[in-house]
Amino acid sequence: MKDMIKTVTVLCVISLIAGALLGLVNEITFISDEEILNSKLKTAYAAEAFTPVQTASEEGLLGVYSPDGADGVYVYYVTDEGYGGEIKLLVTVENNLLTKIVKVEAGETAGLGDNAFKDKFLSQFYGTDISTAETYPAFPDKTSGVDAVSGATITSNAMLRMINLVIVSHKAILQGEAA
Amino acid sequence: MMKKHDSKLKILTNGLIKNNPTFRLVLGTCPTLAVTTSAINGLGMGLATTFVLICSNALISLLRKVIPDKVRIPAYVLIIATFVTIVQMVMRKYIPSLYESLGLFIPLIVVNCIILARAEAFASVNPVGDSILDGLGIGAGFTVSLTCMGLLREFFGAGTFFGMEVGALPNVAMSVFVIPAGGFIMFGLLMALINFVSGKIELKRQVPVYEQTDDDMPEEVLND
Amino acid sequence: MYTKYLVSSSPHIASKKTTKNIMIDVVISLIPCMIASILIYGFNPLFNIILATVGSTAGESIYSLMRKRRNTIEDWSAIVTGVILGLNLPPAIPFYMPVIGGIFATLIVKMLFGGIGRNFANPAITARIFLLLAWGASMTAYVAPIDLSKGFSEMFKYVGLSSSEIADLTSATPLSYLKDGNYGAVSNLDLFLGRIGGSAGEVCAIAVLIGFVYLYVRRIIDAKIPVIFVATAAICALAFYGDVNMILPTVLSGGLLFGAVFMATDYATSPNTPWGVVIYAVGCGFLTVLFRKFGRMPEGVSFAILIMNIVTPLLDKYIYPRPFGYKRPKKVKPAKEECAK
Repeated sequence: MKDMIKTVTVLCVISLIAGALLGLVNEITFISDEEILNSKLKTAYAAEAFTPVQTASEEGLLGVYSPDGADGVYVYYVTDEGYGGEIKLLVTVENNLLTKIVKVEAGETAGLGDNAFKDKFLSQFYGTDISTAETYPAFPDKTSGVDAVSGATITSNAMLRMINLVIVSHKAILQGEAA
Repeated sequence: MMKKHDSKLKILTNGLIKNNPTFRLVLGTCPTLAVTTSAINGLGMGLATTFVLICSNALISLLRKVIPDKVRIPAYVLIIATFVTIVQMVMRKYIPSLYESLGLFIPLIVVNCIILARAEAFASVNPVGDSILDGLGIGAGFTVSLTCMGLLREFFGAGTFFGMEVGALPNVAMSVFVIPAGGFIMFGLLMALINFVSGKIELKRQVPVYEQTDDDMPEEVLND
Repeated sequence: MYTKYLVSSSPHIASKKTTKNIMIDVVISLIPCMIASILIYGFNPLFNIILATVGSTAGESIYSLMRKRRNTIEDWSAIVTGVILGLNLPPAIPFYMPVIGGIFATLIVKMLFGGIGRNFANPAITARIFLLLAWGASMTAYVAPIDLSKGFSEMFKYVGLSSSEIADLTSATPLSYLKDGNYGAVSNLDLFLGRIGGSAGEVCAIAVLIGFVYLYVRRIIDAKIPVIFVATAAICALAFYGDVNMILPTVLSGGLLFGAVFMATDYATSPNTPWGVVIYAVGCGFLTVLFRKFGRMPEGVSFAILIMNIVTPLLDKYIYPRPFGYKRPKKVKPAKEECAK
């Protein structure tokens, strides 16, 4: 009996110490998901603050944001299944031109799928006019003229699907504005 | 209970070569193989593990006379998990890129055999100072091993050095080394190399023995 | 008179077969495939074979040098590995790939595990898988056969091309059509003669069959493995695709015949007992078609052979000939002890 009391007491004390430590560190280092998203948005487009844009919900579209003070700029927060888990991207569209793609989260293999986030692959999308672009066919279809990342077809196709999602969503927003 | 009279320096260097956790003790192989696809990841994981190792060794050594033997494993795991969570929180705020690359393997540090093994074998029977040094030494050994493997795998598998492309190498790099199969191959080759080299060093230390080579063997025996 | 009696210990009769003889015979049996590959794809396969052989002999020599032993390349096994590997590769690949593959095959798969007879899997197959994983894009770039009617210069068509130029010349192989169950795309005669895209030595079925007959007549391989392998694959093709027309294309396309005859029959990595061999060959055939139908890649032979190679020691452990009159002893249950608590 005395053994059990001592055991329980010791474990409780250790838990309390652990809890206190964790609480303390949490206070110092807490950062909400919103703040993380905000800092990511700032890398996609230089602005002070962003407001969410109301839009029809699509699968994979996590949100559309418009920077305060800049007209005609939309940042699309999209997600899809890559090779090693979910990929989350921020795609910046300025005046109907795709200007930037920023990785928020991805679990792709370094040296293979990871190359999909490098400029060598992404630069072929920069400058396309989203309002008139057609959605890309999936690899290994070569008719689109877009090069896949060598050795990473699944990742490349995920990227294409997300860009297609941006195209569809952007066209929907433009139609909504025109109406 | 033998290490009491070991010099402090010996405890420190123990973890680097003689008791290298990755290539000698073969502990913590899971993060080793999973995380070493790039040198930065290996380095980051190694440093995170070292921090947890030092802190948990210290606290466990502090409480070693208080924790009852029956519940020592739950107590150790509790302490280790606390420090891992601290590391995770700090990483998430201050080094988000590393946090994302290591992903799931940060919480997995809790079940890294190295930490529990050192807690059992060393920290629970040695004073705080020694335990801290041991944690530092083993952690350093782990970090060096992981960074080496990460460097080699990254260099041969992706043609980069700490993320920077080395000339035209990325075009001809052998992608096998960044996938798990290549991880195992590289691990085995490195271990073989280390065994080979340390074997030679051991031989040199001993009194030289006459080493018989095939040139001394008669023809018929060789031509079987 | 007494000098007519020679006293010595056994053996008194020795077979004339040595490792070297056997290996030379294997190389001879591969000559039809080599000739076919050159006729179909030009000089590239020849260079691949030479480069792979250079790599494999280099790998073995490096090891022998490091260990200060007599160089084992004299038994020609490295040359056989090099030739088989060279024939197993797509014709138009950069020069360093066969070399590195050859080095990997002998140095890592064979020598580091104990030398000839101790390899855990067929060196050529394992090296091919290694190359496939290392340089997937180049290793899956299969080019179309050359048209010899255009003249002798066509033989150099694929020599010295860069990766991007080769990428423009690639065509789909019969295996990629078969993956969708489309057996009509390539005629069976084309598959038999090899006028298709694929790896250099695999495509010409008739050359492989000539090689098989030679090896069988010279008593180098046991016909059981190739025959059972191919038969199982045929039955599985029927079972998985449900279409009789798929049998012949499945058997004739890809590396199945070549693998069954030259690679699955490696002495060190196939079982020693008759029934073990049967299970091994059935496993190979089954896995090949399984991987072809349900796997991500169109080819399944290399992985099937690799897996069965690794399983071979298990087969050898549990399947051994029982002596005549052997009865398995009845298991005696240990007497239950009274537990005193």
